[in-house]
Amino acid sequence: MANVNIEVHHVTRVEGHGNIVVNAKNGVLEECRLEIVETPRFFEAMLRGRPYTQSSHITSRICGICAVGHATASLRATENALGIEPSEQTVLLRKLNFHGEIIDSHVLHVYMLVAPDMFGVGSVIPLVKTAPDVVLRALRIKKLSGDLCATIGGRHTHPIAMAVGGFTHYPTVAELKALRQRLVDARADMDETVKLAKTLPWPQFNRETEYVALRKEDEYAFIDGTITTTDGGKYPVKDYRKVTNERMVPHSTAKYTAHKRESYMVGALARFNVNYDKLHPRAQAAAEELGLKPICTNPYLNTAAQVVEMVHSVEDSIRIIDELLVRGIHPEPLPPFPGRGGEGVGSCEVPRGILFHNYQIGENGLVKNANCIIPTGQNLANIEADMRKLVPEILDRPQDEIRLMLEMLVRAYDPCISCSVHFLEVKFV
Amino acid sequence: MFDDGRKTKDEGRKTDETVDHSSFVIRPVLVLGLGNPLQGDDGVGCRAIEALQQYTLPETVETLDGGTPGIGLLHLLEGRRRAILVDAAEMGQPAGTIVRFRAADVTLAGAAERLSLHRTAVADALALAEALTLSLPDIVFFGVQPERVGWGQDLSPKVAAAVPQVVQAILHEISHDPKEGIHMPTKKEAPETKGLILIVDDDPDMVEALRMPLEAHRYSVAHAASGRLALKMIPELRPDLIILDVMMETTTEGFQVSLALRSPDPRSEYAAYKDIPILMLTSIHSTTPLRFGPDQDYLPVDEFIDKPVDPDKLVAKINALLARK
Repeated sequence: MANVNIEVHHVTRVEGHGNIVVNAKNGVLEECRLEIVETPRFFEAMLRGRPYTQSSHITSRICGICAVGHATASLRATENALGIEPSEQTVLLRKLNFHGEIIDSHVLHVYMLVAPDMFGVGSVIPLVKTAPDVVLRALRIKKLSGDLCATIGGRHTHPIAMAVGGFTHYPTVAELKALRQRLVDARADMDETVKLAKTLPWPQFNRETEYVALRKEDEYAFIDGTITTTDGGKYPVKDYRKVTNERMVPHSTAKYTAHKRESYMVGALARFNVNYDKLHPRAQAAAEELGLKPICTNPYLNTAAQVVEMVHSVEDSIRIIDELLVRGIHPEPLPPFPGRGGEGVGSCEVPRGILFHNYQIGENGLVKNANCIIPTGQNLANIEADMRKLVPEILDRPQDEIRLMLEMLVRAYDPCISCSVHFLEVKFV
Repeated sequence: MFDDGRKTKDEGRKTDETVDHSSFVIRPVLVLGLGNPLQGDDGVGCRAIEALQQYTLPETVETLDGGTPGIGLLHLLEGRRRAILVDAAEMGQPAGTIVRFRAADVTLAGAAERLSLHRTAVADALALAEALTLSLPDIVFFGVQPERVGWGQDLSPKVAAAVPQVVQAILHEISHDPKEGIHMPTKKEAPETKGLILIVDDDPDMVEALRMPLEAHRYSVAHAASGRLALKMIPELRPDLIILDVMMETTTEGFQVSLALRSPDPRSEYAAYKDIPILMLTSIHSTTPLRFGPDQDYLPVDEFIDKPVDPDKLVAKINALLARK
């Protein structure tokens, strides 16, 4: 019987750090876990004592990929705490900015992280030689999404124009029209992306689990909504703890979560499973093209769901811009501090899944307490449960193949364990 | 460190509607700070840009706090003639050491072999550009050797002390552009503001009330929400004047800050800052019959101003204190 001993340290092509540990003796799985070595655990310390107006700017620095998402969740938590209601224009601009980040993150994940696995190369660099058009398409889409974020949020990576109750500057009509044209032109790249995804050899693996996502009755939810699960749970965001039920595990500094089962999944596949009926028809057509139907229980197809969401976000961005152009852009003053404190929860669906920010703000406008639950933290238990089911199914394969399958599984979740260290490592030659 | 968004800087946005497809002005020279300001010394690039934005730079130069753009770095570099990147760099040097280098001079670890969207973003982005034979600008790096990288918003003292030096080095770099021949001696660089005022107060409304008249009179304003935070910020910011509230987390916090800053002990860690004028905010004069004033031993501040603050009196006192300095 097979003996397997795998330790993958710092899974490559995963944002942040994670170690996979798998041990099997005589065909029996003895140990199987994903070790997390860093989390944004000083979140509360970052915010405590800071003016409420700074929270979104500070938290947007947690992650360079989910910067808009953290800023948005932060703003919604703050607004809910202070009783501030954003205007319809603000809501539209936020949704548009959010779509930019969804496209930006997903295109990187699909093209730069997952496609190399599927093409059997170690990274995107070799792909440049064999399929340069694919890489250039990815960069073209990324540039569009980055410019969308910069036009609305004021900066490519960390939005600076988003504020409590509104925006500090606004796109011009000409900018919106230019963006709209580029989004329309991007449909061709979306079609090619779907075609590419269709050719990728997705691993066949299924495990039933619970899927958790925000849901709204009038749209495919990314910001606000009701926490909804495929096992029948429905909760207002303020009751997020009833879903997350965080607990500590010995091998991780991150907290694990569970709702009705031992684990649940968040992210693009969860959103797809919960909100398929709210997708744009073009996105539903893309799903059909990819053979993706709810409820899909293959976690590797989280990436396929990301492709579907990219199509949706392009189409919904066009719709939002059309609405903004009809309404016209009208500068609005930011609401003053209401002179009261309070507690509020903000939630949105960042690329990797549902994110919660929870703040207590004092009557002096300073943050008293803060809590944050990131999507990857919620997926950890589910990834481990997947690994425990997957490993026995593939124990007869070569160890390198098992290792790759596990790495690909972790990468399929698109984890952002910790956007921790960014400094250059330099050797002088 | 974190702008609240109400005073956003023009970071390359166009103001007219005759824009190109990208909707952004592409200025030929980009000075880009990289890193995460929530990760200790990793944020040195962002801090350098923040300091650099206090200077008037040529129209051809854009400064950008790029944060952690990942592969997006390529798009930030696109269309530029020249790029100056400032980032924390592990170079095996003493903390705070600044090294100027070009990509060709070094091996940037991580490229190609372990592509991650974050960890080696600069190396990966440059490797990707090279593989795609994309046209990149002339890139100069200013690497600052970090001492401590990890969750936390403060720079280590050695790296904080390097910020003014790296700013001067970048100003020098900008002023000696070989292509345009711009010669802009840094000593003639006129800061946009008359000085940097650090407001130490835990009341955001009071901070805003003070900020507005000060900025209207061309002062730059930084804010610390506690005395503890102020003592951490002062070595880095080196403000020209401190406005200090008394009651914050503790009822005598402002007093403690002033005593720390004005400690007669020459070995005090704040000895270098004892000459920074301190204007103390108080409501004691308006709410009680008590009267007190500056005292070298017990209350070593330079001036008091009563709450509610009269903006004209505030500016007049600050002008006078800075003139005296």
